[in-house]
Amino acid sequence: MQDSFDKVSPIDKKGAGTPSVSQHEQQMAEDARIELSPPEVSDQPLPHRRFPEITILETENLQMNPARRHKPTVLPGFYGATRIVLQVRDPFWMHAYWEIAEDMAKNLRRQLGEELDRSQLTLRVHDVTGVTFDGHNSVRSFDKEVHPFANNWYINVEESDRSYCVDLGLVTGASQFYLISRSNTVHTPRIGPSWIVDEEWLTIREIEEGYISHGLSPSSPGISRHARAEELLHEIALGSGGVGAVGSPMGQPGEVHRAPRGFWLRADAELIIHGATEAGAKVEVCGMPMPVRPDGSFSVRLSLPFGDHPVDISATSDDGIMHRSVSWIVSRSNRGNGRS
Amino acid sequence: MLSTPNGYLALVLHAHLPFVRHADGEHYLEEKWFYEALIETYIPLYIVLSRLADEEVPYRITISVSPTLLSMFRDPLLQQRFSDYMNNLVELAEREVARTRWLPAFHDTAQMYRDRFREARDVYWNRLGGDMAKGLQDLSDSGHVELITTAATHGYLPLMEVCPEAARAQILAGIDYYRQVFGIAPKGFWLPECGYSPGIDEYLREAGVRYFFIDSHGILNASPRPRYGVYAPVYCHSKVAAFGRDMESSKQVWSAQEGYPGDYDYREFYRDIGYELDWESIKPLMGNCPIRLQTGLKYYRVTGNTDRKEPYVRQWAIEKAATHAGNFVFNRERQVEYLASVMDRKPIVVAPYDAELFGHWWFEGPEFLDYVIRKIAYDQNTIALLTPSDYLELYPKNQVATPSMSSWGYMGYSEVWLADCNNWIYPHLHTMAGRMTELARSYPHPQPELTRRALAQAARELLLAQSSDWAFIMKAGTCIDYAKKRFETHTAHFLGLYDDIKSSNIDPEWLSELEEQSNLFPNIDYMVYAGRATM
Repeated sequence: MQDSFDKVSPIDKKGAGTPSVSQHEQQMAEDARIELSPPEVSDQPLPHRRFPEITILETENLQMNPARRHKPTVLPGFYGATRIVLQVRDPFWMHAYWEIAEDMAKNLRRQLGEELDRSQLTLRVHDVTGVTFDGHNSVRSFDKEVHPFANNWYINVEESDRSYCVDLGLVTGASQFYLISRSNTVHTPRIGPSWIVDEEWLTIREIEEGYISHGLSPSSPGISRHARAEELLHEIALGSGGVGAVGSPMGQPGEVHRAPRGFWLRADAELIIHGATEAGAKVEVCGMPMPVRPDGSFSVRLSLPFGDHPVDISATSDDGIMHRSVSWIVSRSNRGNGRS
Repeated sequence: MLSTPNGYLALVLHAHLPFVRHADGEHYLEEKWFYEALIETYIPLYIVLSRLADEEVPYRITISVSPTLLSMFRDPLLQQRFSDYMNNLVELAEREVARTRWLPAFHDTAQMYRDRFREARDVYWNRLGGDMAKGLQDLSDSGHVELITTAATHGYLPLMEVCPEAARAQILAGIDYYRQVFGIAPKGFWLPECGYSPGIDEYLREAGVRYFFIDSHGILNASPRPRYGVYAPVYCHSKVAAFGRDMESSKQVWSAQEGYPGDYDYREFYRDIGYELDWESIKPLMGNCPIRLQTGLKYYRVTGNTDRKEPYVRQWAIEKAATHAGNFVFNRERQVEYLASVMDRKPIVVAPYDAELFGHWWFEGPEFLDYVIRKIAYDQNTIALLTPSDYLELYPKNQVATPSMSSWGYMGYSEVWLADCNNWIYPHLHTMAGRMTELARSYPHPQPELTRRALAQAARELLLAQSSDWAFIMKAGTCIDYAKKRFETHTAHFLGLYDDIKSSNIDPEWLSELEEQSNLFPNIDYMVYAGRATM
């Protein structure tokens, strides 16, 4: 059993160089391999992959909202239903995810016996454009071998504007296909303008009467603008500074000292003026009215650039009669060159 | 307006944030997204747009507001917390005015912030009573703003194709909440991320919506080929109109390289005193987060492609906003003149933007918008502003076509929301959607009341897990842990509720806790999930 897993390595053979086999998937496959201990494997002939277990493990140190008692805070890896779901990513890529439930796995083991170990997990991708798919009537199909531990895969298709359905199954050593689950059908979007130029026109009022046709020329001003899917929306890197830009908003030019190794020093100075007067008095510092606390104290921080700065502090009693003031000069200057 | 215009410009602002209310504590820095959006974008936009209305400047503009953002606007807890935040911000700005006393290069800017924050606080409480939804209502009542909405929690609809009941519920629940708040149904609908796939329009029709927006290639690649490209709407077979985004006007405003916001005179976004002042000065604004965050006080201009930024000069920035507005209007005039010359009807140029571009990312954005509206009103006769429903009144006859699946995300399809880092969420989302539909169909008349409440809460948890924001954040790579945690939390809550309902073993205490944590959509009708839907 274990041997069969080791032998199959479709990622190496088929997936090299294609985006469908991502680093992430490989990592998930690796982790899954580590988690499956041999006795479990022998009980479960088909490889299971729990959905997001790795992601969950990474975040288990985060505290969930204080949910409660027995409710799980780790999401389930299985939902217990055999299922494959197909989604459109863009005109040329689809994504499928699947789950193979235990009863299905046992069933396959019963049906295939030893042959199961020689079987390859496969996505059979059917182009079902224009047909009602019955399992046999697709326009064309191709097989994508997937890693036995994978639970999702990106599928590259060459033609856009087509309908697809994917069968998840096993290809046996005798090249027989055993269906495990059939996906929903999706339609990929067209790349480029439609070749259909027959026009149909409608006014809201004409809804009751049905649609009307309109024989206007198909030449159009708009369609010459080529469809460009540009990401403008989240391109919000306005400016170039970046959070890491170093420097104080108050700093003078030359205040950031960088050494060749990237070691740096940033220094700046602020002045705290504090004092107290009678409760209820009005205080001004450098002409700015100051909030005075209930106990009569006040304080203010000022950025202190180089040079001489006059400081005038005045207090006026709340009845406006008494007045006191002090005046200083505060200065900042360089001593030596201070550089290295 | 002396003569009739040659064509029309539809400005559309999309206002959205995921539901980031955290009743369980004040240490969630993501709640700060909401405060910043209010103080930097929504209040300034309200001030600009209501002043234009007061001065009777003629204009029409469309604003889409997401039900999650609307819920937060109306939430008393967030209103109170925002009030505290704003008071701290005003105090910080006042201290900054004092601190920069001897720094003339920064002093004027500090005063500007103090005055703006004070004005914002005054407008927020004295004109809006603390409820930004009232501001939107005022603008709508003025006749200048057409309000529309989007999916309930901004779920990305193309990746719900396999569970169409959930896509339908996102749409109907969103419109239902909008109706509860504003009393009427919206005429238009913003598809989250402009994500469209054929069939989604059927649910819009069911909800009475007349139009939606789609990215350029969704229209250009429609079938049959639309005769006027993106410069006229098409009707889907559901009779709902699709308006395509104009790339030219988008690029001029959005693009970091070619767009206006990167101009050297505009305010630099990343240089914030939150990273640069000493810790004690900024601490009150950081809540209980022990890390440095932005405060909104930024003293530098973009300056150029350099780390050595020069001080911001408000006067220059405002003059530049006026210049850019003139350039924007001039370009739209030329565009419309050309289009009108080759079309047998008046073209509509649709220019949608994330609302937060204006004010939050691009500080001078609200002033730019102010100038654009005034210049269109008074300086030219070539174009006029209108809303999509105005255009449908003028041109009720439109071509019928099926738009192509598309989004406005990177590369134009679904790869942002369906990538290696986030595709693990879909097995959960689709399973939950299936289970919610199963529950709704099994319990059309739930007894007792506790069961009904559990079903409603299950619907809320599912909707919250579906927010396009979580997958987007995982892809964008910022605060990934938060997005994962939110997704896992709502998923775990849903699965727990499902088990409890099925086993008739609902824990009233736990349910109350969940209702308090995720209290949006108080009147949600979970039976919306019972409806039949196909895509």
